[in-house]
Amino acid sequence: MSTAENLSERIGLLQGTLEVLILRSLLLGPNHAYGIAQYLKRQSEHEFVVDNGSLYPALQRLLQRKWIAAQWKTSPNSRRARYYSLTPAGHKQLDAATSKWQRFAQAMSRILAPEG
Amino acid sequence: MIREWWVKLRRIGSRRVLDDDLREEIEAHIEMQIEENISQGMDAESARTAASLEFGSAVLVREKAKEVWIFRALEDFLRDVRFGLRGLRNSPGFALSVIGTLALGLGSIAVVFSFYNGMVLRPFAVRDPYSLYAFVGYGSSQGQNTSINGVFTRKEFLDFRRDNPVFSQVLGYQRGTAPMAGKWAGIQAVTGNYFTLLGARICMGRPLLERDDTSDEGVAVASYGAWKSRLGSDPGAVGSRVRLGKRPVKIVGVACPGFNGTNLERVDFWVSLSLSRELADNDQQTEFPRLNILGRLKPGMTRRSAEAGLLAYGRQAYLGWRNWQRPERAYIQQRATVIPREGSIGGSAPLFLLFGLVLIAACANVSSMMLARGLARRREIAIRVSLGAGRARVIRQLLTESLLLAVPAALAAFGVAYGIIRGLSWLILNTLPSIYVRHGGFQMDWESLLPDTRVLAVLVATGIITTLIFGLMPAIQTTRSSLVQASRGEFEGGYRSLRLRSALIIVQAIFCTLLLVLSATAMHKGMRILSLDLGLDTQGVFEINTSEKYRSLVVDRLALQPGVASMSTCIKTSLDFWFGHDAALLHPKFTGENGNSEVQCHVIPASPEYFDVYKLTVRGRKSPTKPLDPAEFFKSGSQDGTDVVLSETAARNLWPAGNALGRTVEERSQDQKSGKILTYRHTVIGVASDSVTELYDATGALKPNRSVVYFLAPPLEQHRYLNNIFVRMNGNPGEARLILQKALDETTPGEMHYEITSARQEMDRVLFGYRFITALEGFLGGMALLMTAFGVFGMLSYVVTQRSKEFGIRIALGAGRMRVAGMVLRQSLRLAAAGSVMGALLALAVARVLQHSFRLPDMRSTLWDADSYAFDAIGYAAGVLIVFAAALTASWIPARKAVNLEPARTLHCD
Repeated sequence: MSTAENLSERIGLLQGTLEVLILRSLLLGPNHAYGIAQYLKRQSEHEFVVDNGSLYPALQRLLQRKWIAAQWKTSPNSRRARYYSLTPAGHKQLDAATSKWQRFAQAMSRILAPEG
Repeated sequence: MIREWWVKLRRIGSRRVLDDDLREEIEAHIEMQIEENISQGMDAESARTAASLEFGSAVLVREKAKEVWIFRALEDFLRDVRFGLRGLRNSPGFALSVIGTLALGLGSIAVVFSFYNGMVLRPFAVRDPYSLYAFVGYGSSQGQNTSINGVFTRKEFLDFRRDNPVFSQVLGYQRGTAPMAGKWAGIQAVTGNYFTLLGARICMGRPLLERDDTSDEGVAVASYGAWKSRLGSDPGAVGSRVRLGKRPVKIVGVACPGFNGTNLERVDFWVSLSLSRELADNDQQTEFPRLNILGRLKPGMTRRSAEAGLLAYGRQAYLGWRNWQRPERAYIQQRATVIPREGSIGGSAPLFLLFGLVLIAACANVSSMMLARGLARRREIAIRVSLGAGRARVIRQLLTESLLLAVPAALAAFGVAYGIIRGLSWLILNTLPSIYVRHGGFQMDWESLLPDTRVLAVLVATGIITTLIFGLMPAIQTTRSSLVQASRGEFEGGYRSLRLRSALIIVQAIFCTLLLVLSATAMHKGMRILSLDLGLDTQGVFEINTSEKYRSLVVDRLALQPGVASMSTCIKTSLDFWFGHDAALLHPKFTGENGNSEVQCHVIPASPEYFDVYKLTVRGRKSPTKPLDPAEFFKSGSQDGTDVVLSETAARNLWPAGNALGRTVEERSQDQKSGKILTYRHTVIGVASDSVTELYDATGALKPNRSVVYFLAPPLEQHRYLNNIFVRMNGNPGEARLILQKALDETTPGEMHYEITSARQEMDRVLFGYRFITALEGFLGGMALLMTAFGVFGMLSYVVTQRSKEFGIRIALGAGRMRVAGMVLRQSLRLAAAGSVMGALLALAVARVLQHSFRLPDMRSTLWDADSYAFDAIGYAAGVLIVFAAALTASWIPARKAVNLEPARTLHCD
């Protein structure tokens, strides 16, 4: 997973966070791997550019933990693709992780912000 | 049901499915990217290139995705292992029983495989073993009928080496035994090129060389084992001297460990050819050495072409003085291993099968035990299955538990096999009667038969495979019940499998009984023989055998020896051996002078001192006025008009009414050559007290014979012709033997040319067969007993656990606890009864078969007399009782469990 085109400015993301982002990307509905990657790129305004070498293993891990489910479907332009969808357990996990991240982000910005 | 199996099957191929899925998914991903690119304005070509670059390495992505699953599988496995270990630690009894049973089963296979490994799979420790061939002999196209082994003298060997068209190099060796460095040793006299041709390594000193063939000094190379056991691992052994018989021999080298020649028997020393004369063997040989041929074929030679070449060579080379029929084929045999690989499978398959059955029985028993345990944990397992663990997952976990038991069992089995083979070698080496040792029998190289790393690898692999066999069925069965059923204490079915398991235990009990009955019968027989009163006073009596040329000297020398109370010569066969032609000669028929009943008696030509040696009392006289002429006896048999002494039994048989002294007895025997019936008349001058001279009658049944007619030869000073010398020595038997040995060493060329046997040794030899068979069958029976006991234990545990609710109800309703235990015991006794009765019947049948197949008319020995396996009430009773006792012991713990059941708990099914 990298951000921007400039290698030196890539922000590395921990394993767990990518999984949370994937779960979020599926909140609106099932999607395939390409779609997930595009979503993350767009929503982060090109800050997060997903490396497939991280995306696919993350999808497998989520499958193992049964937070997402997979199904082969024919996409709108009649192409066969593997669609991932959120499971109820995954939904619960997403909620927990979201609130944790928000608290984390607030705490970080409080400390990093200049005093005053 | 079918669907479940289909899902399971797919899971096995899930790795493949995962890979295919990923490929397809990635391809779709890239296609979508390409479409995007095209819609952005790129042309097809560059769209594809850009998309591929954008995606990255598809292979890498795939591998990384797959790794996730492998990692997970490993994690799961380790977790299963930890869980399994904890579970086993809580029930050590169960773990030990399973490991023990498996160790027995795997150990049996390991023993057979170790033998096979040592004799067929592992080549000799020489250079290029598969190019070595032995020249075996000549014969017809059906089979070899002339052995060329032990036939070449040194000159013939050199001629062969030079002229033969087939071998590029040859060596010669003569096998034998001799007393060396204190004990009988396995010796081979070899040509000088032995070590260099074979490429065998020498660790100390030098090997034998060509020049040793012709030197007068005797030199030897010791094997590593001999250096350790006989030379005391002496670092200065090289250059030291030992005695081979009377010859001094210089040790010039010690072979490296692992080399033991190219035969099965253990070789302690390889000696130069000049010592070949010293090896104990047949007296009739006059030329030494007598070599076997071993060599490497010329390049390009196949076995077929080699045999053709040897045939042509043989036809024109030796045959003049060999006296063979014209050979049609020559035979050579590959000598890379003790037994050549071809054909070995066929021969050893039945053995593997038999011990394989032991392994299968062990697996079945363990299956039973695991089923019982699974039953006890069924509630826990049902909960786990319903909580989402998935049946496959739980089955995997149970299998892991089985693996945790199988691996230590395999290691234990290695130890068991090692112990058994070591024990067997110790037993044979230390209990073999000296007569067998002397003639080189049974002195195998046991070291090469011990299990090695190959055996260990096979054991572990077998252990893992058997895990699947014994672990899978209980695992599936255990996870079958639903949670609701399990909580209620219901456990479906297994009724059919219960019957199957009972049948299996009965089969085990049958074999167990069979072996124990045979063993007990043999032991009883041996005891009966041992307790037989032979009627002879044998304390201090020794038999001396030596070749004819030394006999006179020996008798003269012993006549002067103080400590010799009396000495006689006679022809006396041993208690149990009969040989064809002697049988007729020494068992003619006699009648009294009034012509009534014909009695067949054992004839013993003996000098009158015989009765003194054995302290037999004689009524009448024992010194003949008309003695037998021993020299004539050997030429033409009995002689008319000689004086005889009868045994009491013979006298009573011939003249039941009264006195035999002074009477005439008529002998009728059939002349071997002409077939005519000849009649002789003898005068009875004395009647001796009874003694047993033979154990078996003509049919091979155990019937001690006391009917003896002694043909009296002249007293000892006047003749020396009869075969055996018997002496009675005064004083301590141990010292007496040493005195005899010294005297014989002085009159013969050495220990290889005489043999001293005491009556006790003779009895040991007669009984050895019984003792060996008793021990062997007893040991196998013991192992089978353990297996049966484990089987009973496992099954009863299962039954008790399964029916614990029922038992709880019964107890709650007032049935005595003892009654419940009684139900358990009854079940076990029923199994034992069925098994042991059928086993005893099988033993009868087997005995019948053995009696027929071992009916050798002219030769008897204690291993194979027809009587050995006849019905013996004590033996059969013993076998059956032992099986019963074992079954009862095995049911003790389950019965106790049944007795200690608390109805409250079982009804709640805790």
